[in-house]
Amino acid sequence: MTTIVVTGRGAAAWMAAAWFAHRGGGVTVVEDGPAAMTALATRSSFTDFNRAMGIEVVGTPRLGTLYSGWRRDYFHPLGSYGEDWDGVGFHHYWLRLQAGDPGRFSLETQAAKAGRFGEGLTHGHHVDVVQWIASVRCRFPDIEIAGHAQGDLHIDAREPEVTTWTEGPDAALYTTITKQPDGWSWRAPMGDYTLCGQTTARPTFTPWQGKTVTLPRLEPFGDLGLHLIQTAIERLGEVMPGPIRPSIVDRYNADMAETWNALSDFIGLRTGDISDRLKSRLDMFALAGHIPVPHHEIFTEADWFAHLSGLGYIPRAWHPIAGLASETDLRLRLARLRTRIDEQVAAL
Amino acid sequence: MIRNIVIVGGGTAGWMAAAMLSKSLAKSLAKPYTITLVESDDIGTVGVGEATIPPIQLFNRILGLDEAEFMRETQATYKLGIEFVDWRARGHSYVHPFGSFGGQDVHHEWLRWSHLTRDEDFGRFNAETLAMRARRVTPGLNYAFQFDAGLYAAYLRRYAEARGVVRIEGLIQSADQHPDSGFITAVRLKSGDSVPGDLFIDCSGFRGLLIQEVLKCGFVEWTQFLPCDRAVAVPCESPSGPITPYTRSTARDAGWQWRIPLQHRVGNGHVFCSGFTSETSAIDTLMTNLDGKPLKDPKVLRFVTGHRRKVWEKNVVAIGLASGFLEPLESTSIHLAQLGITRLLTLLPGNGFVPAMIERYNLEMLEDYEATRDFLIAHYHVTDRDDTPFWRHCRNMTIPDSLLNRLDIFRHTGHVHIRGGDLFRDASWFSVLVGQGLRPDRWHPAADRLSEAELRRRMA
Repeated sequence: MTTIVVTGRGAAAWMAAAWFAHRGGGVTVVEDGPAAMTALATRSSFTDFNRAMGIEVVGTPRLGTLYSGWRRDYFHPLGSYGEDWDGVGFHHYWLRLQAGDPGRFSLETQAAKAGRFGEGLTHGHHVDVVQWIASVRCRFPDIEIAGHAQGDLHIDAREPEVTTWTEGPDAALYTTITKQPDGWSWRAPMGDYTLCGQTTARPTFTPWQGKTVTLPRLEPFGDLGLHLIQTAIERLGEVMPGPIRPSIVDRYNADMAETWNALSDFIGLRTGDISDRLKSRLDMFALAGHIPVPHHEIFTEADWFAHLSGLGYIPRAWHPIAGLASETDLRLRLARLRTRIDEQVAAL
Repeated sequence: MIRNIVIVGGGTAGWMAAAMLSKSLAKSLAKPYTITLVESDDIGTVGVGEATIPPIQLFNRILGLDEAEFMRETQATYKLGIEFVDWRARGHSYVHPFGSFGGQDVHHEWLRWSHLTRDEDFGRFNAETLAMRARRVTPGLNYAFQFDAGLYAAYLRRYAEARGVVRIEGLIQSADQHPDSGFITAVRLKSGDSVPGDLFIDCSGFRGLLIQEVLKCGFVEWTQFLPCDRAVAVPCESPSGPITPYTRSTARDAGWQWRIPLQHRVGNGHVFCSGFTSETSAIDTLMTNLDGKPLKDPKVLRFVTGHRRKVWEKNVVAIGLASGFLEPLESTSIHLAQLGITRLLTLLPGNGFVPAMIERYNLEMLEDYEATRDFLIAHYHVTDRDDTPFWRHCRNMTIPDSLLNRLDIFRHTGHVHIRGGDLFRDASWFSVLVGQGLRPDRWHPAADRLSEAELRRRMA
């Protein structure tokens, strides 16, 4: 059996260890690196990832992230906005009518606002990492822990250094990310307490070299970082365990570099680091309401739209097909969506 | 500000563009606006591929076409996939169906199961393949259409003209360009008339009247990867019995032959490589392999596989054959025209031409061309056939790095690598690679989790 050695202490390391134990490898974890974050803010993809391995995710429900301290506070919901019609994304219809708060068309945003939770919502969790690791070890008792190990494939899953502190309980169904002079801080309601954290470490991405794959290093706490790390692990799991070949390494590196660039732009939108790539993306949005989703992008049109609209990029441009319906008809359709969402929230 | 759109050339691509633009730009162009299509009755159309792939449904739906009416007007039949005969070896056949087998984990389980049982028939795990075998189309299946492209163009012409598109009959002789920007300002006709415009859609076919003859965009040739350079086409009478709901592609000594059943006839064609067979012998091969009496004289078509270096340059967007050519092995011609049109709508700002959008458009179109190219090459390159010089050439030819990488990963992991927006997904690649005889040397160890008995039960 192919042996896989994972280095790290936190969620990233145990996600990799669990996934390869599940996919048929012999796994050893070497606990090394800075103390990891003790909480995760997850998306529904993390729930699916765990379900595939037979692990149930336990935690407080999470419907999105409130971004605070930017131009104005805005919410990035899990799930989508409204409906796509005629193959054209909802945001085009919204842009055409300049239809007020986009969150009115997001079930998860409205539920989070009302503090209500129940079935039918796209959600993740705030997860206690220590507890979650315990459930992984219970599911995969064969994962070994050692101070040092040699394997066929080494996965470096060490995480950046973070500062954390706890505060009193908070009933919010979402994570709060607050702008700080040198970055941002997070708050995750964990039930009995709220876990807060901050890092000044810059995210890094290192290509796969030889026998060593270094997972993207960024705080896995924020759901974006976690999503990226999970994507890296899943891509590895498609071709590993197995012999390492140049074709596999080249492919992984090229794909991850593209994904990494897209993530950098996604974060750059908020930090104001506008690369040429992001600039051209903003042009497309400004002039045609277009949100491209290139290959290997892990964010959807809805993810981008939450941030673009939240940060005040609201062009008067939309897809021509969104311009076809009469304004009256479209207003009616949007009103129906709002009513349906209100009814769904009331029924929770 | 775009007010006047001129489509250069009728044919399938031209009338698809005219129909879609007249429908979808109706509310967003500043008024008064015009959409004009210039075509000449003296120039025949190529009538690219009569078979399509499932996204055509979205195109028709946005136009608001009624499916029954559309099928009646174009003599259309349902298509559930393609049967490839003699491609891997003489006497062998496999199906590339629309639809899937249930995901990549299932592919690995199938590889293990097939290794155990020596059963090679993956088609029985796909609903569309089973329906093809039964020659029965039932609701819930993934499908596309086979239709008469000439009738489709005529049908869309009526649609477009009803929505204000003006058709001008005439031969284009030259184009006027803005002295500074080089943007085209008008096309001049043989009659002396001139047709001014802000945006020109070049649907003039292989010539590329504006994109090439005026703007000199250049052409990237792919004949080193896809050596076929001729086709001869002929319709024949339908045989009796139920219509087969699929396209058949049969490998020949120096190319392949298509069979596309329509309601009123069967479309046939032989795509071949002039370096390996003569035109006369290619025509003979076609005419001796028809299901019914030929309805016309065979028509020969010459082509060069590849694409325009840029498909959108200044204010000219090339759609259809003017943008490039890939042989109809996977019925992608109409789809590439469709993509060119719908992508234009997505990236066309109402008030002008923006470099970021033009770059994005070119990038995405070329990615689709390259991805389709790689898929086509795989059909020729991955084969056991070595019985003719043509097939020996295809087996041994150099292939693009992108395909080499994909084949190496599949051969050694059983995993089909695909990208987010790839047109042909894992099930398509799996069908064709395994169908062509590429058997990976391992499956993913995750497929070993089931006991042998469980695996056999699951696959039964």
